Amino acid sequence: MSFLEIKDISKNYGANAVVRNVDLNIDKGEFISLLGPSGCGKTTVLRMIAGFETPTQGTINIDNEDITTINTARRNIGMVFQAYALFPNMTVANNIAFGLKIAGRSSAEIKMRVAEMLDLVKLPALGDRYPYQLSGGQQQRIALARALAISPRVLLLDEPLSALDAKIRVSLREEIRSVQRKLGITTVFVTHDQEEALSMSDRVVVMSEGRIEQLGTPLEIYNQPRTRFVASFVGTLTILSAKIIDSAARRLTICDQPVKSKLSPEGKTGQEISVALRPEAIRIGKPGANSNNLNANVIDINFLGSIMRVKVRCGTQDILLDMFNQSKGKPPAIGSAVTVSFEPDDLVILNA
Amino acid sequence: MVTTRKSHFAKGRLVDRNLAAWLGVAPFFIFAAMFLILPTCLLLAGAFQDDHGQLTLQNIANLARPDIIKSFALSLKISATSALVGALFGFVLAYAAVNGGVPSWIRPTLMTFSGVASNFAGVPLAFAFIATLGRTGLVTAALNKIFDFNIYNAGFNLLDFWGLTLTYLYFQIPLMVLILTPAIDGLKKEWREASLTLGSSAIQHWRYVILPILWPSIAGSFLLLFANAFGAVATAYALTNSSLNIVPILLFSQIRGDVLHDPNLGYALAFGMVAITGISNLLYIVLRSRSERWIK
Amino acid sequence: MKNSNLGAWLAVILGALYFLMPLVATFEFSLRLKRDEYSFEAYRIVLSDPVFQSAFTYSLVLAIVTIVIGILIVVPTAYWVQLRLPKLRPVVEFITLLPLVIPAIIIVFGYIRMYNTSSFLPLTQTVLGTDILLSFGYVALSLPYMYRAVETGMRSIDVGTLTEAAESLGAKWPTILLSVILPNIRSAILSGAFLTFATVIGEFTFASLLNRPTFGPYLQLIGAKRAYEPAALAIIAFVITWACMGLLQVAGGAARHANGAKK
Repeated sequence: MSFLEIKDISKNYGANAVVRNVDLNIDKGEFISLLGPSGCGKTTVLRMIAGFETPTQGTINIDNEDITTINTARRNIGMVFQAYALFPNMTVANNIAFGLKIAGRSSAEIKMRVAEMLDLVKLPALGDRYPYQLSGGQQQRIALARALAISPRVLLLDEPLSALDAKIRVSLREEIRSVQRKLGITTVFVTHDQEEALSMSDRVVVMSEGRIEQLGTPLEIYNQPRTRFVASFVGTLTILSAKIIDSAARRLTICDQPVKSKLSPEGKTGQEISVALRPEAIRIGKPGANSNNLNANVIDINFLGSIMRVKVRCGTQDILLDMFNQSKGKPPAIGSAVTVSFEPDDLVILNA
Repeated sequence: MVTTRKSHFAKGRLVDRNLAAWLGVAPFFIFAAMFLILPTCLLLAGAFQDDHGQLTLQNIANLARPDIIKSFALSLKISATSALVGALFGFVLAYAAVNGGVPSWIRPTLMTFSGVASNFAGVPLAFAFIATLGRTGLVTAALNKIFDFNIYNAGFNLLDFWGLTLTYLYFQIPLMVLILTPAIDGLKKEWREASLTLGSSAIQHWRYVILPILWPSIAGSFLLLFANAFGAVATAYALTNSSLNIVPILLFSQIRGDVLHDPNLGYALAFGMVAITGISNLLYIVLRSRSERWIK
Repeated sequence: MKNSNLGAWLAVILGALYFLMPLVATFEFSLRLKRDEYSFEAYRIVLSDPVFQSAFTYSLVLAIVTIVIGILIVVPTAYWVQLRLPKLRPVVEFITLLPLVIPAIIIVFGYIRMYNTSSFLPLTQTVLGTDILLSFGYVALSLPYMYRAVETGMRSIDVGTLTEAAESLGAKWPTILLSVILPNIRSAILSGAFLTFATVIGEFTFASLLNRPTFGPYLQLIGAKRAYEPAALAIIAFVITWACMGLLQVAGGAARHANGAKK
């Protein structure tokens, strides 16, 4: 039995279906990310868990209790919003104490709990400040402390890092993850940033147009995207068309040059299918014993700091590949002919 | 800014340019001095001078005359009542239009109408209320005919305290709507949601979050409405034709014909008015800056 | 949720009743001049009254003069404060807000004391002098609206860059103000102008105490003498105010549109 069970929920606004038949089982203590572009329904799923929206169909259980139609106030969940959600008229300490005060805890208990929460988010000295005196990153830490103070059953994070500067974003996501691990709290995190989702989560749910596209560990999502959408949304990827030569023998051609794949492609001989390659899986030269090799021409080089992204053309298709920026290796000249190689394992076969 | 400009232009040019700037704003300051600041100061100085121009507090002390105290009391009562009712109902109306779940066309309609109505003060407003609630007004007649209820027999009089207050509300409520709507807009949806997830009921949310956040704006607006009513002359004059002796009307009659038989007492009366409107405006500014600090 | 909705509806309906009732009543009243039928007779009488015509024309001219003087004073001030004298901003803002703090009756009382016949500048001695005093008084009254409108307009355009661009092309500052800045804040100026117009056209206290026959005192006089004509005049005044606010919104919409296009 999972701790948080989402069973076949849908949400329609009139004729407009925002969430379609989403099924999701989340274990106790797990950190799950809902990843997708804006409008994919990820926020609506979160808001249905929170109780701000009622599903048109389906049920949501927490710890075997059906909460689908229960008031938000009685669900005992913690939530952190994108920004500006601290009460501006209260000090940091009073913000954190708010839920406890509502619950009617004794002032001694509240005081202790507030101090504990301030320590947890590493801002022990800021209890007397007002939100407008804090930086964005500090405000979000306090918002986290406020959400956690009531010891919620589930923690919901609605793009909590999107409004922050890049540097603070990275440090705060590590911190959120470490607090989550320490407390072992079941967490659902909504984001449109694949890097956040991949780096923080136990499992990632990629959503598109109200549906779950793929559910898996970050490694699975990145290395074995199952659909074209997931492949293109997560990381940089070159999608190529390939032709099946022999499905059982896992032989194909890309721009009329033979390659092998690890998994058998589904389809008849001569059928065109989509395959994908990550730039970091391809190298120039140095073919291995079992590797696939393609002859191509260099047409563009982009310098990105630690790596160089090279665009090569093979037939009519462009392929991106990454080279480390090393002092000894010289980048190839534009226009020169090269052989690029990659392992059959890295050739991803896309279903759709 | 300044350093880049200095590098662009020679120093002589710079002096030129600042001179042009000062010349450019000079008409404004001359105008403000001649038609705003000096006349007011001169008038207020008169409150502290006797007939021979000697410094005295006697004029201020003379304000304690029973008739003057009575008009200050009446003025305060009308201004405070119309400001209080106007602030409360204006707040409810603005909140209803912004967050009340009414159709979306109501809000722009209310805002435009408030812009018109808050400017529709003075003589025409008095006419409108005479046509509505005067002795032969439409509503008076309708109540008489349909319910056989004569509001004048029941003690209502448009030319009285309640009549004037009711009339003032016609510009007080819209003014409140105009001032308070931005503050209500500043209430974030996330606050409501955060307070829900933390277990609070609607009443608790109002008590601990909405009212404390809006309180400075509401109180500040009340003071602005109060000052607004306290200084108004035309509506009351056209409605009651100086039968209701509120301070502005008393001052109006004094300017017209020295009804107090003491010019310096007139200046003292003016000083009393400015003191009251000035203090309420000052408090309004203090309260507003406090609410802006939070909302920022 | 249902309850709060009900309350909101109640407030809106109550508000609509309170605000519409006087308008309906006044309009109905204004049509009742002929005993047994509704007619626009009261409007006809008012509009053909030569005193009304002269009072209204007089107020109209005053309003236009006020707007012109207001623009001449406010625009250069806002421009220089924005561009070169930002330290003066709080002072200027404070001064422009004074007319909201000091009641009109106090200001005009001050005029009467300062510019009376025995003073150093006896403006009230002559009709022309009094008219000048009245115009400047109205400029003072409308200063808060005019300044705020123009200032907002100036902030929405980049005055500094526009000026430097014009200077680099060899323009002098009168040219810059007239042909670069002014056209760019036209809708802001219009907003200020309509608000000024709405304030000035029916103003009573200043005109009455300075003894000038404008529209405001005329209204008051008719109110004291007649029964149905005042209602007609109230409707006319309301329509004028409404027109000003309507034009204000059109001007504001144009300004927002222009800004939106830039962003």
